Amino acid sequence: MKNITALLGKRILFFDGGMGTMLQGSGLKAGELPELLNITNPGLITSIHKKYYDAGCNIATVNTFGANACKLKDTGYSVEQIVSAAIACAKEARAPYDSSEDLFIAMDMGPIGRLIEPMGDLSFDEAYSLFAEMASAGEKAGADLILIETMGATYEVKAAVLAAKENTSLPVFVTCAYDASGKTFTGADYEAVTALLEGLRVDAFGLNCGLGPDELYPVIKSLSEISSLPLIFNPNAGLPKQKDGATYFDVNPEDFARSMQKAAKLGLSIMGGCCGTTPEHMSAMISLCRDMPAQSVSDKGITMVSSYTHAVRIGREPLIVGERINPTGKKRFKEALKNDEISYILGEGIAQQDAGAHILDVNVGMPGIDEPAMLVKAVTKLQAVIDLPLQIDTSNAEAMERALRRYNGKPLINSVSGKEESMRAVFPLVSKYGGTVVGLALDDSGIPATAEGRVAIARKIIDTAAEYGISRKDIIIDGLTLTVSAEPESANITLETLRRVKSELGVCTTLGVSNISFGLPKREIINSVFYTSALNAGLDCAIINPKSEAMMNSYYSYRALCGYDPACGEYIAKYSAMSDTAAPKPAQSISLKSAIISGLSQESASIVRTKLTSGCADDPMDIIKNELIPALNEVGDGFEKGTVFLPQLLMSAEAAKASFEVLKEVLADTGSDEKIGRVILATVKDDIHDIGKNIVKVLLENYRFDVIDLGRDVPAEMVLENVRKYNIKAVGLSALMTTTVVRMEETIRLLNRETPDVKIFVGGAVLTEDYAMQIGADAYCRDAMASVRYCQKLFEAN
Amino acid sequence: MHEINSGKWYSQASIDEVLRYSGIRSAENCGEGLISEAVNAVNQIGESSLPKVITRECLLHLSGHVCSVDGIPFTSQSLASHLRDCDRVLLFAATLGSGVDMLIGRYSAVRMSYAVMLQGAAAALIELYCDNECAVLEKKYGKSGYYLRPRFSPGYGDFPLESQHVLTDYLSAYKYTGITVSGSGQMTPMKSVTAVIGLSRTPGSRRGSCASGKCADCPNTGCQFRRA
Repeated sequence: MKNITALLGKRILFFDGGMGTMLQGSGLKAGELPELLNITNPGLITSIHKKYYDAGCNIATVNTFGANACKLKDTGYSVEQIVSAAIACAKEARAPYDSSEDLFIAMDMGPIGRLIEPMGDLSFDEAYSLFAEMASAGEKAGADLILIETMGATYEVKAAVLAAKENTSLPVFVTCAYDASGKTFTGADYEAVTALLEGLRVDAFGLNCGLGPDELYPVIKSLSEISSLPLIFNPNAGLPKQKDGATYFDVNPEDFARSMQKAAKLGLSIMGGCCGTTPEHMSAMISLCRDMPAQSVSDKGITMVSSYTHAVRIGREPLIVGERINPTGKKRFKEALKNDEISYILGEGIAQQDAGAHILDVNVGMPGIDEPAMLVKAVTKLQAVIDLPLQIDTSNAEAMERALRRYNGKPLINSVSGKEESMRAVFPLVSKYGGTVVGLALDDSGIPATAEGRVAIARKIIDTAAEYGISRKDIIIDGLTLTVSAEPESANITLETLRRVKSELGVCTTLGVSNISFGLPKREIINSVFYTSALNAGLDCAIINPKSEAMMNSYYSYRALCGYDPACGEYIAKYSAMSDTAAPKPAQSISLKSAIISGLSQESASIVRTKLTSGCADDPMDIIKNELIPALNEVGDGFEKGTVFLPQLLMSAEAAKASFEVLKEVLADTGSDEKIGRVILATVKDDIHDIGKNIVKVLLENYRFDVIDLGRDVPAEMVLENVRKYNIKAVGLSALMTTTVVRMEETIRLLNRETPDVKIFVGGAVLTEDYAMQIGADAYCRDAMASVRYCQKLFEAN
Repeated sequence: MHEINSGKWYSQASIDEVLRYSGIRSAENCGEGLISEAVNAVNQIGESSLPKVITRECLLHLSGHVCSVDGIPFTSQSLASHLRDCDRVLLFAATLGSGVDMLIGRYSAVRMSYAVMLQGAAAALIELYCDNECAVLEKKYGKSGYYLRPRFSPGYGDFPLESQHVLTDYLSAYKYTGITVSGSGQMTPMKSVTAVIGLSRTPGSRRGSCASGKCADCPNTGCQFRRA
């Protein structure tokens, strides 16, 4: 097999131009799948490849862009048939030149056409399988490399790259489609894509499609400034335009070639074209660029982690890693983990983002739970609602691998140590999935008592990582914070370690700051001073509680004092407003009932807290019975009469929830936090519109129902499985579209057959009372309050 | 009181529309608090959106209930009736982008009341975005003597939802806008619109403008969001 990677950086290579453009020019009809032509008209496909080889292109991209099982399902052809026919066409076109060592065949994989969860309805594993089938077929048929192209969603890119790398031994190239601002249409910026693809260790990457070479020049230029991998540039021949019903592209071969020549000077490794480009465009480009010197690619040394939207560069300015998603020492968090209350974890994450965290640490390790499953769940659910990069924090190797595989981006990994066993377990995962890893300055002999000892371990971690192909830019060292009350010298040793790691090893640093004050009163005082000292010593990533005012005061002050906050703009914005709102509102000026009816969450919680702690403390159950429930009933009645609107109903529900959270701590201690009953909610299979179901959930929880929320796109079998598992009496189903009410009917039929005693209530935009009865439901609930009333009646009757 | 950000594509959003889509049937009595939430919701949705549109001009041939668009047949009595007097159509797909879905999901996890307002704001803004784009098309095609009919989407009348697949495939909507269609015909990003816009040499009766038809032209008279 020919080795294209050996040529990268030695000379500029050339991809071909558009295939679709050529096919449309040859009479491809509207609505026809171009990939079928590999079998029905192979001569046409071969002639197109031949024209591109004749024009001087090195790489023929075979006609398999949409040859995935999803798109081919009604065609009567298998993926393997279409792919092998496609590659046979390219081979035939190449045959006359076969002695040449610089002509290649690229197996082409475009987007599946459906987005992966949580943005869409395709599971990550399904996407992986679809790509794996294509990639394997490509290698089997004789492709020299795999090109994953026109990608817009980073999760799909990750599934495709893993599928290609795990199922073939071919080089993997990736190009994404960007707009002029350097973002893909799912909002991922070019830095996020770079971090992801460098982490996944693809062989080359870049951009294609979208716009013409001039519009995309700023994007490829930005990529060239941060990329440590060979770059590919395959733009369109301008923008699609229409004249007399026909589509054309507005950049001619000569102008295209001149623009590509300008881009080549950025040090590109591979160039070609996408929509609208023809053999004439390629020929013109190649004659201008063929003899330009190639530039070898160097490691830019940028330490980056990323989410699915953006990258965070470590080492440029102080960063905050939120530490609150961790059960250690947190009773409420442990309870949430035990009860699978994922919404509590999401709430902690969102609150930390709002408080200023740049990265969130995620640790869900606790005895008695399935940590690998819970970590994957926490990571994927957090990524559905928060766009910050995550720090995957676990000492369980299985949990780490599963979470890394499903993480959408390049994560921080917490952690590896200088122990041989730890490095053997963690480094292969870092080199396979990508990530920047925290190196703990300890080894089999424990934590060295001197900075020198810790720096030596850090050096060993960096050197060993290199043996696994992990660059030093992807190691950040944790010099370890020990409790100062137990070890009087510990703070000084940690600070010296920080300074020496920066100056002697030149890598980035992190610290769990709060450990310093363990066992001391008023911990925030010590923590914040130690934090400032650590920042001065070179701390890049502080693992702290961003909701702590004292810590954030240190953070903002340090930024203002050390040149990270020009003209102190950030500091002024944060603190000048504070003086205006400093005086807290007197919480007791209104009753709890009024606060709930008015939807005032903070006031409601504060009133309950006062009631519980004042001299004549109220009984929690009395507060619920006499104030919370009557308030909720009043709002609920108003909603039913049309005097209270949905957002107001929900605001009251949130105020009640805030009160319940305060009461929960007391009730959990006394064991009297009793629920009326347990209800399952689900949005049916194939339906991803779940806002109505979520509204019902909020209200049912307020009325003391224990809600098991199965989410959206839920198969009937999963509903049944949970009904049996939890011995459920009532199930609420939602569906928005006529096409998915069919799924609702199937779910009802299954439940009625297997668990005939279960009552099923349904809701959704296209449903009516009659329709609901017709599909076998027990009740139709026209809105969220109707669901509450139905469940109340059902459980009272029993 | 906050205001909608000025100088943005969404500056002209109607707060009354946002409230209506959020389930508030009478804006006069809902209080300043909710209006302020609605304004915030418009600004946040506007800022998290990455609106994109793609259109394609096609030849139309009508034969009974079959509308042949560049040779692709769509069988629908309501679409055929909507396109009478047209000899061409514009296929149209627009989206606010997946950032909007993520934002709504974020607040659904912690503050459902605001998620409902965001949902309302997103519904109002995708309409506004489509109207703005149609106004541009109206001007462009007006120069060649064409009048635009209002947008007609799969799911309206007997125009089958399944047509989303054909429509988005033919537009290469994924490539240019990121719109995908699930097996059950649902689009992601969720705030996306596909439509057929008739091009006619004659002005329509009530349907003189692409952006003006809306509720008055919709046969679903029982809809809770219908405007008076």
